Amino acid sequence: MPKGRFNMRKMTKSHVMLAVTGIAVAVAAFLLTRWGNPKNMGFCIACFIRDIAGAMKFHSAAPVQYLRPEILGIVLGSFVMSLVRNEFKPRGGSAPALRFLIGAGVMIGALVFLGCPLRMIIRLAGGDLNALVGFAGFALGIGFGSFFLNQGFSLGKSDSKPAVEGAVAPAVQVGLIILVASASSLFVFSQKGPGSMHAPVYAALIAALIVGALSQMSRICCAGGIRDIYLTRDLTLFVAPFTIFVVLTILNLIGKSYNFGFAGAESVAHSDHLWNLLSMFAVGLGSIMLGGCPLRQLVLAGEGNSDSFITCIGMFVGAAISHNFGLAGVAGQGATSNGKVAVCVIIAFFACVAALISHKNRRA
Amino acid sequence: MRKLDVCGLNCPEPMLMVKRAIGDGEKEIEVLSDAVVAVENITRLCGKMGYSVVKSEKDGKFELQLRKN
Repeated sequence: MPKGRFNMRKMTKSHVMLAVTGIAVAVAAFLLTRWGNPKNMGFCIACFIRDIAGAMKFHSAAPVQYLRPEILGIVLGSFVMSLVRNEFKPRGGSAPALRFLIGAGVMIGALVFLGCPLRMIIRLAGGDLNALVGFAGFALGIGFGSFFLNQGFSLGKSDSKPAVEGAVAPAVQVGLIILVASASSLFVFSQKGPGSMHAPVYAALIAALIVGALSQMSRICCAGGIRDIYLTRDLTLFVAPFTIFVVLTILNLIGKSYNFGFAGAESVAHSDHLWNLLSMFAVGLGSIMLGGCPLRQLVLAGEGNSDSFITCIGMFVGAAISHNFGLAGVAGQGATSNGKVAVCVIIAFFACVAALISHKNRRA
Repeated sequence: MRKLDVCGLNCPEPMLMVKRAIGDGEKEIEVLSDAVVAVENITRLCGKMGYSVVKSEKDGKFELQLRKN
């Protein structure tokens, strides 16, 4: 059997954990959608961080404002599991300003496409072919990023930090839960649109805690799964996104929620193919520069990685910028003019940073 | 023998450093890492490239001895 091809006899503990995580994400996405989350958006990191930014009044797009428990739960699930496994390792200091900007760029790209890499897979599993175009762009962006990794790209080393630094990300999530439980009037919640559609709070929180814990154990990463194929012909990390796709496709077919084609309007998507491709190219490239997809950044933040938490804050600000400046794609219509300019600027920025750092590292 | 200190580096940089060393023809490589993920990735790479891995842990850091089979 050629190197890189999946071999059942070589199934390792990593493969099993990634498959279990993939099944958990697929089931959670399916059930949360059934219980109220927007169609094909069971577990979208970009959409849900955007909703939280709206709920906290960082943007004023009325249809997308809700304090999504899914995001809080993923960070906390990862935090608890990293403590249990003695893998809570506070660290940081690796190019925080660049990580903030790249995180914001990744979020803006994702919101032009209308979904993070995880939602791209969830949309694909719902039969949305627009996501296939996005997947092509994502894979191309990862290929471009992998080229720079081979050329020596690195955002630099991180250092160990005090426990209190690593605890900031989980503490912020706990603080938000306390605030929303005790003073929900501080936040705004959508009365119509995707933000008004949500699963019961406790169901969403429990599902996210489980997904966060399993993600910490398995190291699931949608970008890493494709990156490792480019770099080492290794399919291990690809097991998780592939499992999510297969399991959720089956669940959608059984649940009669599978709609094959480009009719994306009904599921918060659009058929602006060029911009679906380019925006996800930006997301793929940015994710490789950051060392992981948006879901992986949340999980790492839970493990005490303050570089990843800075990235998450960058994504949060990027979401607010997207809606304050009309950059986000419009469901059923396509990318906006501002969004198209933003995607071009982001790709140029990412490419320049990657090229400059790679060049410097090769000379060193 | 080449020695690589990959402490503090993000995924997948430690694995790529080992891959480059293997590509340079190194038959024995010593790696110092402070991340379990890096150890997992390097171990997986070595399995594919025909290198054995001997691990030891001390003070929260991992020392890997990689040797061509």
